[in-house]
Amino acid sequence: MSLDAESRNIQGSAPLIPSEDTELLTRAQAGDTAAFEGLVERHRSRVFGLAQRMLNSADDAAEVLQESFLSAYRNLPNFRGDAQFGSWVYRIAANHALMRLRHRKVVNQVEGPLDGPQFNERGSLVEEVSDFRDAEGEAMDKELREAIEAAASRLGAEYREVFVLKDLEGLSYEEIAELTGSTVAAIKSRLHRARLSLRAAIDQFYAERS
Amino acid sequence: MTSSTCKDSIELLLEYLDGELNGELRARLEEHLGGCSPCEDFLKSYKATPTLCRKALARELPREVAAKLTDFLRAEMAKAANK
Repeated sequence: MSLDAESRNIQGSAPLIPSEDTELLTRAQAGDTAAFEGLVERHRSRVFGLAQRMLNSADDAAEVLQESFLSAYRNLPNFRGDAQFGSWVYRIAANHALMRLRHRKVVNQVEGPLDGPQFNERGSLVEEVSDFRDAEGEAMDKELREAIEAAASRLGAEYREVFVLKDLEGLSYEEIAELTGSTVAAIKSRLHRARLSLRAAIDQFYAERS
Repeated sequence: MTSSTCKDSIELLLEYLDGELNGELRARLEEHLGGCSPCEDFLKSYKATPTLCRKALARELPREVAAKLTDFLRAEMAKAANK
């Protein structure tokens, strides 16, 4: 993992090799704190990214990062290695982030309706769909990034969690079901609504631009 | 075969893109898409949405957060060792 000297951020490294984790884990479980720090260094970026995207707050994400690795450290003696260390600590972090997100929902109950497509009485689409630019190719426009960030921040907790876990983190529906306690059908329904709402925000951005 | 409306079709997009629509529903949806250019455009925009969001919401770990994590864990590990 390299530190970009000109950047305040830590850049990710090449894909992790699980066998390197295994060696560090064995040593960490034997009490080698430097080995545990090695595991932390290998997985901290991914854990932070998950927490930040789930909670939309760098401060909250930093706390989840600390809580998650502390929990992993304390439970090292119980970790039997039936999953990869990275998957295990990621799951711990997902649980911490979900608890915070849901607690926040309880505390701040105001959530507006989600945007979506408009239809006439015959069920026909009445809006013109903007031309979404080549999503793969272009560098992200700063104002588009801000529009997407704003739309994502407006998603209610139950929509945000499935959108982040599926579309940003790439988990399967079954993995999300296990983490959230929801059914796959409910997850798909919420994901669809979240995508429609985000799509509407992007569409509005391009419509106002043209 | 009854044709789909735009509303019916858009409701099926997630499962369609996941490859999970049964034969008849898929056929009805594709028939509708073939004859409805607003829905064809809508499908393109719906498909592009996750990719655009991943790009917009990518986050890197700030160095100071990483440094604080190291300090925090070292303090906790030292506490555990002194027990």
